[in-house]
This record gives sequence, structure tokens and C-alpha cells, in this order.
Amino acid sequence: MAESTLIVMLLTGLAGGFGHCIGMCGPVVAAYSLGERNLRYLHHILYNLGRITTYMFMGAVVGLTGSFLVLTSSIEKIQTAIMVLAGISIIVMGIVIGGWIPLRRPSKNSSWLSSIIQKTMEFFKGPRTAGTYYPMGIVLGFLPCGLTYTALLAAARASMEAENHLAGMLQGVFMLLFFGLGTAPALLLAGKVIDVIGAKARERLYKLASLIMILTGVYFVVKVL
Amino acid sequence: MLLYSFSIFLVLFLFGCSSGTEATADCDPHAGPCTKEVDGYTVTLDISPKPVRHMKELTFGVVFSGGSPALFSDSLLLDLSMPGMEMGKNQVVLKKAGDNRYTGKGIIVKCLSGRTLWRATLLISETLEPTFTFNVRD
Repeated sequence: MAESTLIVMLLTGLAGGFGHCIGMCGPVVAAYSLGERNLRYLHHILYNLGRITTYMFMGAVVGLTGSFLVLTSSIEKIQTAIMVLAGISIIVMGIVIGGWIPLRRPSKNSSWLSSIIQKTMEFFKGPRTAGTYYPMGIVLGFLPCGLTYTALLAAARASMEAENHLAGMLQGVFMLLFFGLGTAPALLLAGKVIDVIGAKARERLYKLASLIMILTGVYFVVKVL
Repeated sequence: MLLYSFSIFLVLFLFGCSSGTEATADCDPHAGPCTKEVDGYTVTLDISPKPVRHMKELTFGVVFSGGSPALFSDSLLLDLSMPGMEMGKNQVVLKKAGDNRYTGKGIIVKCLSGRTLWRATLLISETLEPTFTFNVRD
């Protein structure tokens, strides 16, 4: 595999990160960042690692099969489900972060249902454990994304010229690894900026941010229905 | 510091979302081939099957007329981009399929933003890059 191919993928990710990902995935990063106050960088790093892991998996599949459409047609329903799930999660996060529904700590007198609802709401509000973010990145890495599709198309094309299926698979993995690493700086920066904003203007901006999150979540859900 | 951070984020966020250019469609590939006059040549682009949809394998055919085909090589690149949105490099290799005719297969990817406007740029030379801007159906 030519090193230049990997550099091109890295640069594609880097350019796309600032020119595409911030606009498209910024609300997702905002959603998980706003409630997080305990972890400094770890949640962003883990989330991005999870996302890149998924890209590498998809790169392996297109590299192995040499077909972009085999992958996308296979995961279409999964992507739809993840988009609805992500949309609902972002809506709930927006509601709890904005304080639109008052949260009470579950007491001994609480019913099991209200206790579960309260605990779920607290999870969405954050802070969460660091272990939440890597799987979150893996799941949200499957969100349908035009830029990622283009990277996968490039991997599928390149794998058709590989010596064998294994070489094609490895090529797909490395091409998507470099693409994913290229997209990371933009999302890390976006996440850090949201952390700074969140820490200094919690009360003033949380209401506005939560409304944007709710609208984004609704958009995600409506888009696939 | 807060205002500075927020401004950076807002600029980056809007840059990612911005339409960037006021591009509009100048071609309807669903109805039939599109023709452009460029530098003394007539370039015709046909995309099939119709209607032209995202995430489907498409055949791109280009026909030149009104000039010497000797100007062109055995293959050409057709660059697919979305006006105002960075979508990565998606280039279709068009192989010579006749005196003035080139064909190749490619896929137009779907963007979560819901935008459907795409631009196909035929990379012939630095000074000769005819473009076709069109909407793709879901």
C-alpha cells in the first residue's frame, strides 16, 4: 500500500473534519459534552477512538469484499435504527440539560418506574463514567455520513487492485484509520470549545444549547422516518 | 475568552453547514443528457440509470463533438463534488469507449444534511474543466 494513499486519506479527513464534520457532527459532540464536567479530555479521546474503530471495521468490510454497496446495503437498517436512537438521545439530553424537566433524586418512596426514569434522565444529564464514551463512539460511528462514504468508496476502489482479499482488507482498515485520525482534530477542538463554553456560561447558554440539541434530535428522527 | 471560544466554534460550525456558494442546477440528468459548449468543443454528459439516485451504481458517459478527439487521452477523470460542502475526493475514471466517447462507473454518496445538489467536473486539462451541476434524487 502506498504511503501517499494514507497521507491523502489523512488530509481528506483533516479537510473534511473542519469543512464537514463540525457542521454535521457538532451537535452530537455538543450533546455528550455539555453534561460532562469531570473528564477533561478523556471523553473526547475515547469517543473519537470509538468512532475510528467503527470506521476501521467498515474499511475492513469494503476492503475484503471490494464493494462499497455491499456494506452500505447491509448496514442500512442498523444505520436507520442508530440515527433514530441518537436523535431521541439528543432530544432527551437537550431536555434534561436545559432543565425543562426538573430532576429529583429517587427516594425510598419512589416507584420502580419513576426510579428508572430518574436514573435514565441522570445518565443523559451526565456526568457519565469514562467507560461510556468508547462504546458511544463505536455506535455513533455508524451514523450515515457522506464524507465517510467517500472514504469507504476510495477504500473499495483501492482494494480492487490489492493482491488478495487479506491485503485488500488491511488496506481498507489502514485507509479508514488514517481518514478517521484526520477527522479527529476538528471534533476534539469542537468538544473542547463546548467544554469551555459550558464551564463558563452554564446558565446562560445551556437553555439555548439545549434547544439546538432538541431541534437537531428531531431532525435526526424526522430524516429517517 | 468565552466570547473568543464561542466565536471560533460558531465560525467552524457555520463553515461546516454553510451553503458556501449560490450554486444552482444547470442540468437535468433525469430527463436526458446535458450538453455544454466549452472552448470550441461540445461536451455531453449522460448519467444512467434514470432517475439518477444517491448510493446506486451509476454509469457516466461523456461524448465530445466539434473538435479533434486527439486532444484527449485514453482515460479522463470526472470529479464529483457538492457545492458548499466538503465531501472528500470522489473521482470516476472514464475510459475511452469510442472515438469521442468515454464511460465509467461511480457512486454519488448521500449527505445527511439532505442536500442533493452535486457538481460533476470533467478534468480534461488545467484550462478545460467543463462542469455540470444537477440535483440527485433520494
